Amino acid sequence: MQRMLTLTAALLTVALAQTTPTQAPPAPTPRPLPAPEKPVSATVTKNEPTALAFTPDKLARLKVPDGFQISVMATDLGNARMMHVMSDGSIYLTRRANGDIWYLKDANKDGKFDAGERRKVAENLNLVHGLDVRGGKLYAVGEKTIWVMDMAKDGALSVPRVFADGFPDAGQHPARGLLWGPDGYLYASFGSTNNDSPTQNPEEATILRISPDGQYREVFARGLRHTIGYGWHPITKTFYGFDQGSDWHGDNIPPEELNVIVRGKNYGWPVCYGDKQPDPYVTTANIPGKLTKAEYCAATQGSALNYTAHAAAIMMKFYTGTQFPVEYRNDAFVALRGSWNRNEPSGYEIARVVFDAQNKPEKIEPFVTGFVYKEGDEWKQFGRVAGVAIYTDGSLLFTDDQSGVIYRVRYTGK
Amino acid sequence: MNKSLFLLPALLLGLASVGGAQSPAPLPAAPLKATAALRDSAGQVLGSAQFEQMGAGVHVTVEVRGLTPGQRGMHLHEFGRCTPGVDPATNTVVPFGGAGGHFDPGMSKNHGDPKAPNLYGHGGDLPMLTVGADGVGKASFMTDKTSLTGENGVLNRTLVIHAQPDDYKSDPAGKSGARERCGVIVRNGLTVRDYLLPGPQDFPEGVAYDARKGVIYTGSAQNGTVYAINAQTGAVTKFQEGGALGRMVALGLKVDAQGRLWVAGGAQGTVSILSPDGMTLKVLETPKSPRPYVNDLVAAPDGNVYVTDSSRPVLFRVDKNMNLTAWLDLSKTPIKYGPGVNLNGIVATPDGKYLLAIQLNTGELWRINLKTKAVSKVMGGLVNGDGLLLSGHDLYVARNKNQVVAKVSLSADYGSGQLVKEEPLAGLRFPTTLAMVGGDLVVTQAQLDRMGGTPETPFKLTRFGKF
Repeated sequence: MQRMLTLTAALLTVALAQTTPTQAPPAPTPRPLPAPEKPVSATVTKNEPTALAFTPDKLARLKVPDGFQISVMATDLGNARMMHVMSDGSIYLTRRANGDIWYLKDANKDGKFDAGERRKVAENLNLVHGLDVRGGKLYAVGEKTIWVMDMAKDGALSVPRVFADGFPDAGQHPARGLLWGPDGYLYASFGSTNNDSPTQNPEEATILRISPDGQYREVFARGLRHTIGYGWHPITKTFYGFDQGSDWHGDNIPPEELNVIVRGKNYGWPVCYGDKQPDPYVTTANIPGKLTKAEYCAATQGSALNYTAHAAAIMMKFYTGTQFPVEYRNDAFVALRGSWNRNEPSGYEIARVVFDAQNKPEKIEPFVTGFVYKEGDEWKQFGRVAGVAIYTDGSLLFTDDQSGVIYRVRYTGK
Repeated sequence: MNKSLFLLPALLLGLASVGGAQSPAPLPAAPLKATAALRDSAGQVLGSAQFEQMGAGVHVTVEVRGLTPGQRGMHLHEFGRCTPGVDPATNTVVPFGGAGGHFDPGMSKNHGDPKAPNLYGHGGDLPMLTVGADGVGKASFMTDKTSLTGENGVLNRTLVIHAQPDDYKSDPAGKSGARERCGVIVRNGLTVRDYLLPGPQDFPEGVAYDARKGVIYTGSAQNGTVYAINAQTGAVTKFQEGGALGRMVALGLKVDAQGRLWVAGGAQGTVSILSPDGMTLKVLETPKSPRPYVNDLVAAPDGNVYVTDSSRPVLFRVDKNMNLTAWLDLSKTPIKYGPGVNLNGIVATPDGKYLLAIQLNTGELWRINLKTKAVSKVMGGLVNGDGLLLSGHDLYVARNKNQVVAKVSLSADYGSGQLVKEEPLAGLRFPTTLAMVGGDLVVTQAQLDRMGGTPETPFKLTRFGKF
């Protein structure tokens, strides 16, 4: 018996020697106790610029690149968050704080959503946020539920039905994302309930992939603190998402991340940020296996690009229109709602992710700025940008959820 | 426990005659032997230790050189690695810290003298080594605190020689100081093939093989992540991240004829079915109360999948339309549920007549007639029997806490059986389930006894020839 075993083993060894096994990095070593770290201090600043309501005179403060013009399509829409543009130019708008969905259509083509061109089409949807359309149905996600609604030609929606349920509590990060993927599955994001420690519910801080019937789901990627804006590059179909880094770790830690989202990967939050950098301000006690941060982070995915800390990326949208100059095609626009725990405020702008000739993300640069400014010693802001959409004419739309404004950026060449 | 294990050969004969089966008599167990090359912290080999199984215990011979004269604490440590690692007392990395603490199969949590029963002192506590003026230390002794097989088995653990004498009482190591020599205890004349997993919390409980793809699946009892291992190259990819609803835990696994992977969901009370590309197709739920523990499952020739629950006395069945129902109320059968883990591993006989299931806490193997639902006892004596694998009329049983794979020879009608052999292989850490890969077997080393504690990584599955 013994000999047989040995013989088999020998044969196996030979077989092994003839192939070249792929060498994965060795598994990290769990520790009996949390890894010791030296004390570190952070200087943190809570700085919320004074909020100012939008008034038309402030429009002149906004800066766009040469050749672009900015205008206002609507004001006083309440907590205007995510938009979905239909092919006829109508728009579904979610209002998270209001828990409803509005239908906007510029019927008279005056470039404004007048009072008579706005209609509430769904309500009592707790924390409704991300939305998408597929097969004549509107899907929207709230705190713990995804709803589906039939769409009528006039924009009316049926009474929402529960499509999928039992998602994690929202806690600190109630802005859920939702998008149908090119593979026919629904991708919904569920941020962490907290700022910077591991969560108990393993569906938190993830993007979930949900079966087309809504019945079953998997954790597609994890370690994503609050990824709201995501999508597939129109040419490469690579999956990109913006993640919001932790609060209260200083002015520049951690940066906001643009990630390439790959199935089954861990993007590091709360332990690691950027290019797999250990966050010095996170406790080691809660790391699975009590690994050192260096060991834990080595097994995570780094970001593709970083942006100014605390800028708070919300929606991201690839530019698929034709109105903008050709170099903008297939770039992405992202709404950066703005910081509240950074000495010099970051965000309060729409940024552009520039993709290079090989369709790789090259840099992130400001596109619409001017919402935040300093007067004397006082920082002020008049816009918390959130939703981003491409309008039917190829102009860029974005929302301010503070004053309920929909802005429109057009390229006129002037 | 210790003694009963080593009386097994005698018991086996007894069982064989009681069972009256026509199976061949148990083969004489080859004497188990092992060697540890003892190294200093620079990796230089400066001695060796030999281990030979003698009845219930093990005879140890040590010879090591290059030490300063005097008495040295000498112990068997729990982990099979002589790497630097954390000394918890100082939370610093020290030479040979990777060997972990003293091997403590009795869970005594106490350092004692080398004669103390394992319930009162570490099983790995050995007599001190005396180093002469020439720097050479030699020892030759018997210990029945440890063995090369069974619960006290030390294969793929370590022998460590310390810098100071051992006071035989102070926790955790008798004030024996730094670790100066270390050797991994390697079984002589046997090599097996290990498939290594990448994560720190993998705790691989289930295993299944898809022969068409050449892929071994294994899943984490801790977080539900399922891996796909290329059986030829050993390359590991993530088949599905765990954590979603119904997929927070993965226990027993099976691949069906359509290449779908079935996952027993443990305390979630679920059975999940994954598509061949790893997406959840379905999550079937058992009643939420009382406490579920869906442990293993098997597809029978009748096309139904039968599911064991280790805490609720019921066999569930999933039919071809994916309806899950309570198929058999076990409380009305001779199977009596008690504290701990009850029915666990389950297999179907190829003739389509029976299910065989093992009851872990009682060690009883049961035969369940698929047509009449009649239940009869096949045999006992398989306590800690976890996963099963049926090959012809040979039944392999992963006995988790016993650290062995047992082979049982079953009668033609599967109605009786006899224990033929128990294999510790190259040292197993809580082996839970088995799969057939080609003509070989693969067993998981789940380390479930270390969940919530400090497991030894890498987690691994071990492939070996049938015995």
